[in-house]
Amino acid sequence: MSLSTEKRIQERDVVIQTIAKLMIPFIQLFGLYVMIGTEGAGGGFQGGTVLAASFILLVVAFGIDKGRMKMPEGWNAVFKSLGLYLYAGVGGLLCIIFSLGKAEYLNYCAIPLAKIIGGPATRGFWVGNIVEVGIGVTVMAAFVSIFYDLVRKEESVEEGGAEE
Amino acid sequence: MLPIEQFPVLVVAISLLSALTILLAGWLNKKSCFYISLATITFQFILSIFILRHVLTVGTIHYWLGGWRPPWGIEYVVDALNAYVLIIILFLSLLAAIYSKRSVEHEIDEKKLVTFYTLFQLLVTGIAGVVVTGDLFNMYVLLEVCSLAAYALIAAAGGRALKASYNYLVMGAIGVCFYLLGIGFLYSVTGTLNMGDMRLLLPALYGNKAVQVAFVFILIGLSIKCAIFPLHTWQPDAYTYAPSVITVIISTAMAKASIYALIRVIFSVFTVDFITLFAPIADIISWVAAIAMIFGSILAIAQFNLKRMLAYSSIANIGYIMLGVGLSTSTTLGLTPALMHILNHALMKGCLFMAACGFIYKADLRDIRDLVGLARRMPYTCFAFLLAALSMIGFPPSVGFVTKLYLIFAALDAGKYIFIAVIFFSTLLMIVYFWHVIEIMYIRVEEKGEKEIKVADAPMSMVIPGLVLAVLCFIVGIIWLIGTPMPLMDAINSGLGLGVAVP
Amino acid sequence: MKKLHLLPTVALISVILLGAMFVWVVEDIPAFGDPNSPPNRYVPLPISIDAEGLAGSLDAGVVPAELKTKIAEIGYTRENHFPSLEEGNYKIDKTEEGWDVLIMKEEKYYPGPEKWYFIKEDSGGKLKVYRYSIPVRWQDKTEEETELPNMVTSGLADYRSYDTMYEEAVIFTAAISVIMLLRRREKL
Repeated sequence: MSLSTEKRIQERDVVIQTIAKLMIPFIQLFGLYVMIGTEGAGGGFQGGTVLAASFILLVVAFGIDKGRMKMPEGWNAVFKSLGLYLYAGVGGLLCIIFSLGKAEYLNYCAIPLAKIIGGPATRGFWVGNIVEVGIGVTVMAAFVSIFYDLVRKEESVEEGGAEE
Repeated sequence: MLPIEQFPVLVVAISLLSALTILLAGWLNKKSCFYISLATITFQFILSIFILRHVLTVGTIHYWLGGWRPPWGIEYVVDALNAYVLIIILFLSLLAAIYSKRSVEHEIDEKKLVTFYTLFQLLVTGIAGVVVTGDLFNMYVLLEVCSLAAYALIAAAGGRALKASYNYLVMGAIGVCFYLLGIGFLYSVTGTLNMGDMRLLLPALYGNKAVQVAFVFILIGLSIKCAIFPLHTWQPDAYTYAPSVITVIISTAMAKASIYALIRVIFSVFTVDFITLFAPIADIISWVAAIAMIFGSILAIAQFNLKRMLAYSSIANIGYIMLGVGLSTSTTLGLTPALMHILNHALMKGCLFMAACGFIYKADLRDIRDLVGLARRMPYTCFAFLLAALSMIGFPPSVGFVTKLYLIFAALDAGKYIFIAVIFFSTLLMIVYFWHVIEIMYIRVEEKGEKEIKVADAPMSMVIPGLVLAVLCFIVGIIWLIGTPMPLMDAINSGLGLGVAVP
Repeated sequence: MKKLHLLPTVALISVILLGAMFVWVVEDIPAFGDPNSPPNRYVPLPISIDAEGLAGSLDAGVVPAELKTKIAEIGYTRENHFPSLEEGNYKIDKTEEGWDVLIMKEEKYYPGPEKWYFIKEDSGGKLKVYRYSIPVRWQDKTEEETELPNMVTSGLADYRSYDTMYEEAVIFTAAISVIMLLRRREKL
């Protein structure tokens, strides 16, 4: 490649990197808003996708190695399981356990919080803050993990475990 | 709410949680995946025995998930048919899990082990979830879960399995899309997704074109998943190139769950009145099944690869079950032959595939012509294969004989004598290909030029499930002939409105 | 001479046939924006009886016996695990179009009355019975029962949260499949 082409690629990289450095925190904040906000359109799947998009922008701007430093692949596996644990385990099995087998599986009114703030408020709190967060975390980790597997370079295998 | 009514949900939900646990625990210690999976499937099997006992003594279980009454929420309905199919599926999953320890170590890469067991547990979750649910859309979602896990697991073997899995993926996705379209049409004219509710709302709408088209779409979609005759082309490749455990569990548990879904939609949502109103449906199903029985057996004779021959034999046996379904509206035996063959075929085919994969494990013998004189080297595995093959042929008093006997009774009762000829002809074809293999294994001696196979028998954890299934083939046959499970069959038939079993 | 490619021709013909079948079916499916269609509001039951003296009985708050027997004939009885119209199990609200029959839901935490049947007297002097379907409760009661102002969120994550859990499990399965088939490094 000639020198001017390399210089042009360098400049383009600097522009994208600066914009990415500015935008990524705001994208993540917006993703959290979409995930947890119950007034408007949103929900766990949509918020998780926006959060994953921020990590993909990080990889596009800075390269896969920097991206793996920010979000290691081992953490991805933990987050995937964590999200579904929050939904199926904490949201479901606790309802059966706390009511000693009398309430049904995903009946959020059976949690002891309902005695403090009442049934409907418990359901609103539980859905908005635990169930949706659980969905969002799993979706984000799944998309980031799939993206990392598709982007991975061949030579990192021979380098061994230098970057963990 | 009795504690035992929570068991159907626990069967599915604890399996999902254990799949997540396998992913985390495998990250720390690779050896623990198998033990967690085995413990979970054992726990599920024990719960399912309690469910069957409760359903037979007390009554059906109605469970409102989330506390919402249907149609506003999802409902789990476990009656005699559900409990019967659930216990078959979990028993075979348990034997496959025991079988999987040595087989997976041999065939799958070391680094794929953790994710393999995660997907295996998700497959069992999906299959168990399809069987217990009472809501149409919930059945679609769980069918997706088990299908997706199956696509990935078949591809785990690498090589030719990738193309087979891709073929299965495309056809399976189309099939389940047709099922979803059918549900969409039904929802748009009835406004509810609950099976019990839709059963009451549909009789007023039998003239509605959307309902008729929905029936056809659901039938086609689930036929692609069950591999009924014209839509079976993904099956031989998928069964042949998949890893051994996956072949065992897909050919027995997943096929039976899909057939259960078909029976449930045809007889519980669109009741028997719909089928007798549009009379050609039962006839078409019977004729297509008859063609499948002959076609599968003829193609199985032509195969050299042992697993591929067994896959085509599977197509023929699914034809037997569908013949039972097609004849069920015009006979007093009802669905008894079809339900019998669900259990019997699972036992026989599980044993055959376990033996065939035992040959591959020990000496990489995939071709039938290479199995010469194997009975002296691997006595137990070949004995299991012999018992299961005799049972498939219909040697009394084995399970194969019982189901053919009941199918002949049903055809006599319905007055359609041509199906008796079809059953006899397909039995003759089965004798041809199974006796060919038995003769090569037991009777033929190696000639001078062929190389001799020097192997010991397969390890214990792979032989014992095969022998258990082979012995059960005959014991369960005697149990069917004595008539012990007949009250269960009567309960199922009367629940679906189909007639009472002949004593 | 140009070869007639078999596969695209067969695919095209089958797509055209499928499209023709959709056009044939569509005239029996209710329109999407129809506010009184079965998925949106209520589905008609096949009951139609003369409204001779029954309107007065409905105004007084009692469902007449002929209606009860007809509804039980369809199958909405207690044996089939549906709410039945026994005494004290229902009440009637009169609106300008007809009568709403509310039944006791018998759920564990919200056992109160909920709109179930809708009885209308049409121009021919006959009483017609409808059954309210799913979104009526979701729209009216979402703020009161679940404190979530958005009906879609409460429908997905509360009323039918079990399906959403398995949709999430599908995404999890997809990610694990990609890890198993495409990952090339040794650790997970």
